[in-house]
Amino acid sequence: MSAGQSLFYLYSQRAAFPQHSDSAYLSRRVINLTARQPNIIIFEGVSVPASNQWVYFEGVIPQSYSNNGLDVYIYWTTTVVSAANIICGVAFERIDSTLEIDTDSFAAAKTVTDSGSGGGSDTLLIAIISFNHSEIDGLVAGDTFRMKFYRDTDDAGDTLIGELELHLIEIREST
Amino acid sequence: MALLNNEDRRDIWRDFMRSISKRREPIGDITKQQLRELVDAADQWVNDNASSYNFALPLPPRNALSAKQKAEMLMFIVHRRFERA
Repeated sequence: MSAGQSLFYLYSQRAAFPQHSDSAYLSRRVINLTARQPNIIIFEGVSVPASNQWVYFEGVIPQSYSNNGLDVYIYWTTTVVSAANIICGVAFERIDSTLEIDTDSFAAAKTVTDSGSGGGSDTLLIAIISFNHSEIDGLVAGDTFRMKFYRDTDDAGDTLIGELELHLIEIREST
Repeated sequence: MALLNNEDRRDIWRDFMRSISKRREPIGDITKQQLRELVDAADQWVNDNASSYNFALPLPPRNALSAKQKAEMLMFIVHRRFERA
């Protein structure tokens, strides 16, 4: 049983970028003066052409997963501290032996709204999206999956001028 | 010169965000939608005041230079003033 426990991490440098991912890109950027150089994925405040920016991660659901659903912890910073919000979304796709993997079949995405005002500049912020077991495309222990992460730049509620810098995503089993 | 189209204004909107993000510069509690309104208003102002700029220029260069050349001159001046600010 792993309810409430961390199952695995999805690191930015493991992300796959679709060719039409607009202005989402991987950057090794110095974000403070302590010489820390994390790999981060940049999601700009506006996409040109207009559409969302997204990246994909692949993984395998650990054997310890016991069908309680997943909590997705998104660790991010912003380049411009403000009380404005970002909206980002996550969707899961189960990959089994019958799935044509060149065609998307993601379960419905869920989104979260989070504020960039969590503290001073370069303060790590955490946004959480909870999925119950039926919302993750039928994933069970041992399944291979793809996860799509995006910034919903065209949503009127996504108001933050600065960039969303995605550091990593932690997946916990829901309690 | 005509008002910029939506695509051009969107590019400027994005480029300005990139610029302040690169500098990690505070910009107050305005939203990106309000920033887009600023782009629209600035472009409209340039359009509305183009004639005023033209008539402020001395006559020989006013008549000799093309509209694009006079716009380029204004761009250089504004850019240098930005660098000095």
